[in-house]
Amino acid sequence: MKIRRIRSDLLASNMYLVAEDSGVLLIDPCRAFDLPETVRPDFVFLTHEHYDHISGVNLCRDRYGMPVICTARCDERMGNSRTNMARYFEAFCRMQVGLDAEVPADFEPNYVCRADETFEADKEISWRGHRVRLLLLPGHSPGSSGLWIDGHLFSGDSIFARQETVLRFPGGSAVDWEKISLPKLCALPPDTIVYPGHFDPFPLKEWMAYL
Amino acid sequence: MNALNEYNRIFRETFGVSEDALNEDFTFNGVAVWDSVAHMSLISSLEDAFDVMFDVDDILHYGSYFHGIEILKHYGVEF
Repeated sequence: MKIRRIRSDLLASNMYLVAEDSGVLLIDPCRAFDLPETVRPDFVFLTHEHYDHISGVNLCRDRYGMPVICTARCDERMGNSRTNMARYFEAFCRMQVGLDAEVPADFEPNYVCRADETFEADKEISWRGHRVRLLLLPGHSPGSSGLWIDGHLFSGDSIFARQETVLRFPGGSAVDWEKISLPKLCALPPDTIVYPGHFDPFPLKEWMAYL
Repeated sequence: MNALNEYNRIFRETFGVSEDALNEDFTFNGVAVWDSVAHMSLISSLEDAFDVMFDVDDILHYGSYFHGIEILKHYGVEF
C-alpha cells in the first residue's frame, strides 16, 4: 500500500491518495489534481465537512465517477455553504494570513456538495484485502471522522502533533470530543501513524504523550 | 425577540463571558479569546439568529461589540 500527500492551496490542507494494486482511494480531495489513467478510482473518504477538505468532491464525482463516503452529519453540513464554512473561508484566510492575503481565484464561496454513502456509527469495510475502520470523531466539527487502515490513521483536523484540537468552530463540541472521540483515539494502537488534515504525519504515541 | 438580549446571549456563549464584560473594551484586538476561530463562530451565530448574510468586508471589520451593533443595523436589525 502506498500513500501520497498533496498539499492544497486552501490553508495548505492535505489530500491523500492511498493506492493498492491498481486501485486508489482519495481522502479529502482538493480542487487540483490528476489521476493517472492506469489507476482505478475506488472511492472518496471525507474526514469532515469544512471547505478546505471537500473542495474537490464534485470534481471527483464528475471526472472519475467516484462514490463519496462520509458521516451523515458531514453530508448534511457540506450541503450548505454556511455550515461547510465556504462562505466564511475568504474572511477566515484574511484573518489568519493578513487582510491583503490572496485567496485562490477559483475559490467558491457558495460551494456545496453531497455524499453518496453515509454512516452514523463506526463501521468496518473491506478494500482490496484491507480492513478499513471508519471512526466517528465528533468535536472539531459535528461531522468529523477518521479512517484507519493497517496502522495508518487519516485524522482530518481531529488531531495534530503537539497541538490542541480546535473545538470552537461553529458546531464544534468539547463534550463530544471528550466523551466520544478522545477515548476512541486513545484506544488505537500507539504505533499508528497519523496523517493529519494539515501539516506532516506523526506517530500517534507522540500525540498521546502531549495529552 | 429582543435584539439586544439575543445579541448579548451570542457574545456570552461565544466567548464564555458574563454580560458585565460586554462594553467598549470588548474588541477583537482587546480580548484574548476573540481570535479568528471565535470570530467565525460569532459571525455564524449572528447570521443564524438575525437571518442576515454579512459581506466579507463586514465580517473582516466586525471588530468590537459596539461596532457590531452598528453593522447589524445596516442589515435591517432593529435594536
